[in-house]
Order: sequence, then C-alpha cells, then structure tokens
Amino acid sequence: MNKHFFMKKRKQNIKSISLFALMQIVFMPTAFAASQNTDSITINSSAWHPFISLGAGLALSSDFGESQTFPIVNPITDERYQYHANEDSQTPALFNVAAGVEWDFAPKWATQLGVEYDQQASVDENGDFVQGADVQSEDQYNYHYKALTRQVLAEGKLLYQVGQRVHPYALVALGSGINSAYGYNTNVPPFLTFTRQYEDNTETSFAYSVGVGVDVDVNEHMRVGVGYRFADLGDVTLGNASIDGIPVRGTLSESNVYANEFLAQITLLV
Amino acid sequence: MLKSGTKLLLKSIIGGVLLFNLSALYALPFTIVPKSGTTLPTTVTTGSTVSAFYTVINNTGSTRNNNYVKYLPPNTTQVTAGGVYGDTCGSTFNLTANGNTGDSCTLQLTVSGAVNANDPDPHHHLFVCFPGGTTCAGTNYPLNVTAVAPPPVTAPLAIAAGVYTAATGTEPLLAHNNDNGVSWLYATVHPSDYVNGGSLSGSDCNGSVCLVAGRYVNSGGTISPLLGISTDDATTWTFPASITSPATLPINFNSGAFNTVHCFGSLCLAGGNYTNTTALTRPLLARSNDGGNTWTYPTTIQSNLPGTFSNQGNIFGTGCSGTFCIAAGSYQTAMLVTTPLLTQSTDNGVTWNYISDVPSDYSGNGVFNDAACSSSHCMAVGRYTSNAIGNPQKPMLAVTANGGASWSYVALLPGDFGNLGTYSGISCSGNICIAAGSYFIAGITKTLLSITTDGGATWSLVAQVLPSDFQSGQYFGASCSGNTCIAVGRYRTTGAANFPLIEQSTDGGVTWSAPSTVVSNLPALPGGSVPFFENASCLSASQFCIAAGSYGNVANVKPLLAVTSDNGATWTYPDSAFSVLPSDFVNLGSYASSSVSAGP
Repeated sequence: MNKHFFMKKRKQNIKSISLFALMQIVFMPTAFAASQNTDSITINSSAWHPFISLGAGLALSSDFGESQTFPIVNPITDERYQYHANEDSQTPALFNVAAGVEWDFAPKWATQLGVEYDQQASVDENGDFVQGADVQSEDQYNYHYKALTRQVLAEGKLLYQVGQRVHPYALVALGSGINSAYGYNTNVPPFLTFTRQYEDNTETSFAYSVGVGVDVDVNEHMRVGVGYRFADLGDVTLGNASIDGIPVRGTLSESNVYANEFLAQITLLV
Repeated sequence: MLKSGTKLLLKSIIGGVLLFNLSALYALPFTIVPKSGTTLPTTVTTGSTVSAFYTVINNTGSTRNNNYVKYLPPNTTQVTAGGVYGDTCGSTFNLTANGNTGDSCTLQLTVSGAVNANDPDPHHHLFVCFPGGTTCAGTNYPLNVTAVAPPPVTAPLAIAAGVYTAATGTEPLLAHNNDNGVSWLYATVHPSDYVNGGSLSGSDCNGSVCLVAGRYVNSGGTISPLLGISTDDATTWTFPASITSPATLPINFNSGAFNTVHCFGSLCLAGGNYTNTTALTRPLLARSNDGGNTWTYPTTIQSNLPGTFSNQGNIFGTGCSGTFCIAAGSYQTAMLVTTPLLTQSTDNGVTWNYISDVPSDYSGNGVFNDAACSSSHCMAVGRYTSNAIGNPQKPMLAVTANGGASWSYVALLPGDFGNLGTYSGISCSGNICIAAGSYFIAGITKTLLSITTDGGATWSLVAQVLPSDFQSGQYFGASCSGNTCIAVGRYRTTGAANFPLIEQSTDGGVTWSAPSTVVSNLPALPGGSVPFFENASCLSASQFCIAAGSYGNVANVKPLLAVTSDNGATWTYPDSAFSVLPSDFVNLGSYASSSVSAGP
C-alpha cells in the first residue's frame, strides 16, 4: 500500500524531475509511454520502481603515470627529455551517484537502468626525468602533477533475489571519462635552466566499468550493498608543452587508466 | 614491519643523498662561474657602472655554435666588443666541445644599477642558451649588487680676501661663496679688540676650514697680526689668542702684520713682518701644527737671521713638502740693499735656517715674492738685479731638489727680455708648477710664464696664447690644481684699453689659451678703469676657479672677482660680488688673496 501511494505521488511530480525524465526518454521509452497513460499506472505500478543510489569507496590503481621520452629532433637546439613515472599504487577515494528505474521483469529478477556519475579523488602523478643535450650535460629532476578522473556512464544492473532480502547483482556501464590533468611542476632550479612546462588540460575519452556485488533490502524503500568494479577511467593528458614560453611538441599523457573499485552503496526505491 | 621500515629508511637516505648531490652540482649545457681572478661586484654607485666577469664553459661533448645570452638581470648589459679580455663572448659565440681549447669564453657584463640575486622572475637572471633559446643554463653565482648613492656633491668653498676703506678706515674684505660662485656673501673679520685698520693679505681653505691673515689696529692702538680661522664655510671667524699673546709673540714685539698663510696638512705657516721696540722691522713667521688653532713663533727665525740683516725683514711666501718647509721674502742690509730672504726647515717648521745662496750674476736688490713646493722640489720666485751689463732686473727662480741641502737658480729668460723681469707668483700641483710674472722690453711690459712638469727639475717658457689685441700686460698670480693651471693679471690692448687677463691650461700645461669671456663678460666699468686680477685659486675636481683683484681709476677702486665652474670655458663676474659690496664700503677695495677648497 505504501509503495503504491508513494508511487502515485511520484508519478504526479514526474515532470518536475528532469533526471528521471531523461532516463526514461533514453532507456525506457515503453515505460515512459505507459506513464503518460494514467489508466495504466496502476497496471504497471508494481513492475517499475524509480531509484536513486549513492555510493562511496576506494579506487585501487597502479596505473597512474606513464613513462615517456621526447627525443632530440634538432641536435643544434634541443635537449632530450626522458620521463620515468613512479607507478606506485594509489587508492583515491571514490564517490558515486546513480539514478534510474528498476524493472521487476520476472519473479526474483529485476534490472536497473540508469545514469551514474563517478568521481575519484585527485591523485598525484609523479616521477623523475632526465634532461640534457647529451649524456655528459644531462641532469635528473623530479616532476609531478595532479590527475582528477570523472566518469558519466549509462549503467545497466541485473539483480536476482535470494531469499526475502538479498539481491546479488552484476552491472555494466559505458560512457565518457572527463579527466583533468593540472598543476605540473618540477624541482628544476628556476634560475639554472629551463625545462618543459605543460598546461592544465581536461579531456573526454571512452570509459567503462563492469562489476558484481550484492544489495540487501533494509526495508521496502531502501537497500544497502557492496560491490566491486573493474573500471577503465579513460585517458589523462596534460595540455600543450612549452620551454620558456616557446611551444614544443608532445605532452605527457596516459591512456586507459584502469582501477579496481570497491564501493558501498545505499539505494532508495520509490 | 622492521624490514619495511628499514627499506623506507634506506630509501629516504638514498633519496636525500641524491637530492643533495643534485642541488650541489648540475651538469647543464653550460657552466657559468665568476672568472678566475675577478670578484663579482656587490655595489655600484648610482650614475656609474661596474663590470662583472663570468667564464662560460660548454659542458657538452660537441661544438656548440651561435650560443647567446638570452636573459640578463635588470640594469645589466653585455659587453660584446672591446672587452677587457681577449676571449670576450660576443653577441653570439661558438664554443668547442668540453675539454678542448676554445670551450669557454669570458662574459663581460656592465652593471649600472641594483641587481637582486633573489629576484623571483627567471627572466631577471643570467641565461646563456643554444640557438633557439630552449636549451639554456644560468649560474649558481648570480649577481647581487646594491646601488649606493654617490657621495654628496658639495659646491666648492671659495673665499677672496683683501681690504676696503670704510668711513672708519680700512676694513678686512672677506667674500665667501659655497654655490659654485653664484651668490657671494661678505663676512666680518674682527678680532674682539678690533678697532680699525684691518686688511687681509693671505688666505687658505682646506675642506670647510679657512684661514685668513693680515693686520688690524687693536684697542691699544697697536697694529697687530690678524689671523682668523673659520670652520663654518667662512661665515664666522675666530682668532687664536696665541697669535697676539705677548707670551708667544717675538721678544720686543711692537707691531706686526701677516702677508701670507698656508696650510700643508695640519701644519700651517703664516708669514709677515713685525716691528720691534727699537723700530726694526723683522720677518715674522708663525707656525701651527693643529690646523691653525694654536700658534707659536719659531725663535730661530729671529735668532738665525743672516748676518747682513739690518731692517725691513718680510716673508711673502711659504711652502712645504713633507717635513721640509721654506719661507721666502726679503730684508734690507745695512747698506739699504734689499736682499732676498730664504729660510728653510727640515723639521716640520720648528727650527729654521737661512740660505745665503743667490744667482750667480746677483748684484743686489733681490726679493722673493712667493714660494711653493711640488711633490719633489721646493721653489721660491721673485726678482733680482743682475751684474750683467746695464744691471738688468731679472726674474728669480730658486729651486732645491734635495730638501734644502743645495739650491740652484733657474736662468730662463725670454728671447726678447730687456729688463724689469720678475716672478710675482708660483703655484704647484703634483709635478706641475707655473711661475708667473712680467718683464719689460722696448717700453712695453710683457707677460712671463714658465712651467715645469717634472716637479721643478727643468723649466721652460710657456708659449702663451694671448688675446689678439694684446699689447702689454703682466701676471700677478698663479694657481694650479690637477691639470688646470691659470696665470692672472692684466693687459692693455693695442687700442689702449685695459682688461683683466687670464691665461689657462686644462691639460697640464700642454696647451694654453686666454679665454675671451674674461673680457666679453666683464661688466661695464667706469671710464679710465684699470681692471686686473691679483691672484687666483682653482679646484680642478670641481672645474672651479676664481680670480680676484680690483678695478677702478684714481678716484675709485673696487674689488673685482671672476669665477668659472666649467674649467675655464666660461668666466663670469657674479653680480653678488660686483654690484653688491660691504654695506660700509666707501672706496679702495681690492682682493689680495683667494682660495678654493672642496668644502665640507
């Protein structure tokens, strides 16, 4: 009864919740069409449940940073730059929010379709590099910059009911990584020589994640759960490079930053 | 845990050592270090420049051509040509591979202002680059230069001393200036017992301390030697009591006067004459060893008088070089023959002995008018009567090169010399001395000017460049300072006009000229005036000279003063000294002495 009442109220305010409208337009045209027919609300009300979930966790990755070399092109003017990234494991915090609809399409089976936004806390990408015109004049310095990864993904989640409250699930999410690289800095003595400098940059690339987990009903409208995801966070690329204001070719970048994500979620069903 | 901790510790140590090594030594494409044997400047005087020298070394293993200085600190420029060192880096420069001949050059920088070694802008630091400007190196030895204000430029202190007549009698005339000769003021030079009869004959300034010498009539009606000292730019004057104290004055002193005063460091000598209680006039010499504050009268001046001395002793000039001093003047023998008086001291003026040497053709009637010392010689100048046919009066120039052990006389006469030759003044600066005077030929008085540039060992006549309308003239005074020497006097034109005369050299006596502005800038004078300069004083460091004398006719004589502040290029007659005269001035004003110093 409560679910039905809540559902009714939700349906009355549906036009004011644009995110849900967007989801329904993109992923659930049939349900959206049905929702326009007030006669069918009662008929379908037990099969469709809008949801919103919030999650937090850790993203484990040893994939931040990538070694690169910028060789001497013009031996009269150039120095060689050889970057060696410290690919130490990093575990930035992870934040996740998702919204969509859940469809109980068969006894004990349901699926969630929605949109999720993931953001990992910024990580410090660092390493050392060698700079020099030749071996006898080269020096070694350190560098670092920050990377902030974000993803906007379309998510599909398949849930199975075990007993009265437990829902193991598997999910797939596809979308875009919107990643920023910024704050490049080195320990090159600023009054002794010049070195490559990189502009801040934000770049969009393909991203995805796949995962499994289990949700548990707390009550009729709330689930809590834990899950694991393997994610491709997309590419992280610094901006244009220059030496003392003179543009030079190439930039520091890393493609397909992978992470193992462990997530705790709370899901609200309406 | 222990293993992990140990690893962390080792990593930290290795990292620290590596970091230390990195900060201590970088390879870099160039090594830029201060040039061996030079020191980077730390101060620069505002308005001037200093040089900094670096050695730039190619650190790479290959020849690097067309390197250049991309950035320099503010207030710094690169010397790319004509540098101090033969290997001065050019605007672009090539360096061979490290370790080979030619792998370095000397970078010469000219610094004209402050340079901050900690300037946060890298573009305000020295960077040398390969072509293209992306491969560069700076230096671990940045310039750090503080700009310091130049020492305050003070206008020279100038005084002119003489006499004028007021309603109460003669008065000391003392004009002083401290603004490059523009605004002259008059100072009162009255000892506490002054009544009247004052006059000034000598003056000397050193720094902000000035001395004047002359005479005055005291409250007891006695003509007393006057010696004033001022320490405030000649504005106010005090009078050392020891000058007029009976305890210090020569025995039987009755009256006296000074003709001259000069200081040679802290040693000062004032010369003149005094009349004793038996009406004999004897030479008078006072000595101060504290810059003119306290004085004594060396007794040997009196006790060692020449055997032929009878009367009319007088000292007109003094000079010192080291501890050797001379005083020169004249005296009269029992036969009423005026005789040169020359006395010398080898102990800083404490004890004195008279010199009896005279020119080989001396016959009598000689006088020393002035004396001076160069860095190596001392000299006295005047005139004497020769025993040559006609007994001509010749200029006299006595020289000692050995501290008075022996004296010689310079026999140097113009080709057209006739008679009445005399040197009125002599002045030295370093090894340059000039002696100025006159001689007479065929009814015309001519200027006489001799010079030595070796301290006095050898003398020659100056090929004077006189005004084009010069007909006759004479010099009365001379002054040398640095490479500037001037002789001053008067001349008469072919049109029978009279003008003051200045003959000057600003290149150590190599070239001479008579600046036309001495005449062209002369104010309009009363008809029949005969203007002349009696004396002069220069300070070459300030390019400043004054010439002082008088102008007038029989009825009216006034002081005349000219100045130059551009090393003689332009002479002017300051109105503050020409039109403005002491408030009680009546007549008969003239300057007998002048002096210029660097001031405070």
